[in-house]
Amino acid sequence: MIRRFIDSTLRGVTVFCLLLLLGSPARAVDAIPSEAYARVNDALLLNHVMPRYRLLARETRGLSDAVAEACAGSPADNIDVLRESYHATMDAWMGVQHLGFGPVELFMRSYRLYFWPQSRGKVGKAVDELLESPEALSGAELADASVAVQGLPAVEYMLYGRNSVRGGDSASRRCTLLAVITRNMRDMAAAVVSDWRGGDVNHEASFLQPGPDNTYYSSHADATLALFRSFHDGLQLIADVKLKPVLGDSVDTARPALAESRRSERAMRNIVLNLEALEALYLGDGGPGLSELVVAHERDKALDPLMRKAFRLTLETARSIDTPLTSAVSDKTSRAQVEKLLTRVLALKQIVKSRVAPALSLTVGFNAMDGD
Amino acid sequence: MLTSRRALLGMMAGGLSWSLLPLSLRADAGRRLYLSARATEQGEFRVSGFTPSGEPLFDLPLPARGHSFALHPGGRDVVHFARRPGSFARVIDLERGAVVGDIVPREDRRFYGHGVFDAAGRLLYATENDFEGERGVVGVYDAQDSYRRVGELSSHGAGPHDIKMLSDGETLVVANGGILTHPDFPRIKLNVPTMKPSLVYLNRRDGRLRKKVRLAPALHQLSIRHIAVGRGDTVAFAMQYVGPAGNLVPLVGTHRGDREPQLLAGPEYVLRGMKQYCGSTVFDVSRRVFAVSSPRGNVYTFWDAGTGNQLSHATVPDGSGIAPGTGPGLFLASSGGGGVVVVDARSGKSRPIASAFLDGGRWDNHMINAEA
Repeated sequence: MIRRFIDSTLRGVTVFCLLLLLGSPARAVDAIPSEAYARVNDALLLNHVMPRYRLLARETRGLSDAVAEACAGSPADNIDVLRESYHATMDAWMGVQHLGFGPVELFMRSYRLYFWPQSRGKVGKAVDELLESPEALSGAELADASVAVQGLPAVEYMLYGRNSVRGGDSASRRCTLLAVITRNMRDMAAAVVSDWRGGDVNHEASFLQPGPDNTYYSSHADATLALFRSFHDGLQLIADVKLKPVLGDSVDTARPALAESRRSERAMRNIVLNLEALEALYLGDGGPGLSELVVAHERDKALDPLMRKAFRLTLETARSIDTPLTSAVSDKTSRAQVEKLLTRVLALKQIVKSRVAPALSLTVGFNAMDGD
Repeated sequence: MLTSRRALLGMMAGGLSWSLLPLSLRADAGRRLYLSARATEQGEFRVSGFTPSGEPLFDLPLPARGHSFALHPGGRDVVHFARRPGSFARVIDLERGAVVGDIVPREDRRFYGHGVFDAAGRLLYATENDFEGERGVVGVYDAQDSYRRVGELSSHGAGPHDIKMLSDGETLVVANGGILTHPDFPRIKLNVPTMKPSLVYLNRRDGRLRKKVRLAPALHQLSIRHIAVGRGDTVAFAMQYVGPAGNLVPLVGTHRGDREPQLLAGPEYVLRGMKQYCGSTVFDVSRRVFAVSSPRGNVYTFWDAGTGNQLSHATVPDGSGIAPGTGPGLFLASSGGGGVVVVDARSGKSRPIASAFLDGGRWDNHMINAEA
C-alpha cells in the first residue's frame, strides 16, 4: 500500500529515469539519515509496541482466569465480572489493532484473536455449531477450528448474544467452550510477546537490525515504513470500516447492524482507544515517535503543530459522542457529531498521506493498494 | 443495460485541458492507440487514449476510479471497467473518442474490474462478485443488444479478477484470487485464513469447468490475480501474497494445457524487491516474453515464457500499467507518479517518452494497446 520510492534492495536503479518521472529530484533523495529512523524504531518498539502487547497478554490472562473461576461457580451470577474482563481485553486489543506487523502476523494470530469485519452472523453461527456438536472441544482442536470462534468476537457473542453463558440448560457446556476459547487467546497473546524476543525468527532483532539478508526489513527506513503503514491504515480502518458503512449516506440509510462490537455497544470506545493509540504512535508514547522525524527533517514547520491540533480536535469530537454508535447514526442531532468525526478522521488521514509521508521520505503509492 | 451518457459529453468538453488530435491523425498513426485510466494532479479520475509518442487522443472523465479494459475484437469499441467494487463499465467508441454509455451491474453484483469479448465480438464476459452468495461469477452481456445481461457462469472460485480467452475462442481463463469481499466493507478481505485461489479454465457457452489449477496448500494465501495468454496458450499469472511479511514466495508463474503450473522466482534480491505484490502482466508482440509489474517495489520484471528465466528488471516508481511496445521484447510501462517509459526486456533499459500529457497523469493499474 505504501512504499519508499527507492528500494535499496534493487540494484541498477535508473536514477536518471526516476528523477525525470518524479519531476522533483529533491524528494527522491534520502534526506533523513538512517540513524534517525533507527532511533525512532528502537524507541517505538520499546515504548509503544511491546508495552501494548504485554498489556494484551495480561488482560487475556485475566479473562481466561475469570472464566475459569466463574465456570467453577455460577456463570450467570458472575456475568458482570466476565463482561468487565472482556471489556478490559477489548481495550487492550484496540490499543494494538493498528499494529499489523511482527509476530501477530504469524499463524494467523491477528485473525484468530480478532476476526472482524465479518459477514453478518458468521461468528454466532460458528459458535452455535460448536455448541451443538456432541464432542466438547479441546484447546488443540480449537486451534484448528474456524478462526471465527477463536477470538474476541466469539467471546462477545457468548457474553451478550442469544447463546450467552448467562442461562439455559446448556450453560455449563457454553462455559466449557468459553474457557477453551479464552485459554487459547491467552496463549496466543503470550506467544506474540515471547516471539518478539525470540522464537523461530527473532522479530526484535529483525526490526532493529535491517539489512540485505533480513527477509522482513531491508533498511531502517523500511522498518519505519511498517510503523507508518500501521499509522495510515489505522486511520483508514476507522474511517472506511468503523464509521462510513454504519453512517450510510443519510439518516434513513444508516446501518447500525454494521457497527463494530454491536452486542457490547462499545463501537465508540473502540474508536477513541484506536485514536489514542495512533496519537501515541505519532507522539512517541513517552519517547521519540514519528513526530520527531517530522520536526527534525521537514522544512514545513507548520506540519507538526498541525498534526497535534488535528489529533486533539479529532479526539475531542470522538469523546464528545456519548450515545452508542448504533443509535447515534439514526438520530439527527448525534449523527451530525459522528459525521463531524468522520470528516476529522478523513482530514487527518489526508494530512498523513500527502504531507507526513513525504516529510518522512516515504510515500503512499497510487497503484500499490491491496488487491488490484 | 446501457445508460446513455451522450448528454455528459457536451458538459465535459469545457473541462478538457488537452486539445484532442483530429481523428484523421490517429488513422495515419496506423491505429496504434494506448489506453489507460489515470488520476489528474487535482485528483480527478479519467480514462485516456494516446499515441505511442504520448499525444493525447481523448481524455474522458470517470465517476470513480477506473481499472481495466475489454477491447472489442473489431477495435471500434472498448469497455472500461471501474475499479472494484465496480458499479459501472463504460463503453467508449474509439473512432470518436466518446462515451457510448455505461453498463450497470445487477443490484446484487459488483464488477471486479476485468472483462473479455468473444472472438466475434458478440458477447462480453465480466468477472463479478455475487456478494450475498459469497461466490465469484462471470456476467455475460450481449454487445448487440445494448449490453443486456443475458446470463452468468460460475467462476468456480471466490474473488475472480482477471479473465482472458484462449485461442480456441471457446475457453475462458479466470484468475480466482480467492478473496471474499462485500460492498458493505469495500476492499476489506473477509476470508484470508481460509482463502483458496485458483486458475480456472471454463467453457464460455455452458460454464462447464475444464480445469482448475491450484498451488500447493502452503501457498493458499498467494492470490492469483492477473493473467496474460501467450504463444501456444501459455498462461502467465501474476500474484499477490497476503501471508506474513517475512515469507519469501514466488509471485509469478506459467501454466499450459494439462501440465503442472511452473512457479518462477528469479533472483532472490529482485523477488524481495517485488514486495509480495504484482499489479499487472502482459505478453510482448512475439507472445514469448511477458512482463510483470510490482508497484509496491517500484519494479517491472521480464520473463521468457519458454524457459521460465527472468530476462531483466527495470525500476519505475509506482509502476503498474504495462502494454506491448512496437517490437519483440519491447513494452510501454507507466508510473503512478507520472510518465510512461519504453523498456527493452532484453536489457531492462528504459527511456521516457517525452510527453507533457503522459508526465501529467498518475497512471493507473492497467494499460492496453488497442491496435486492431
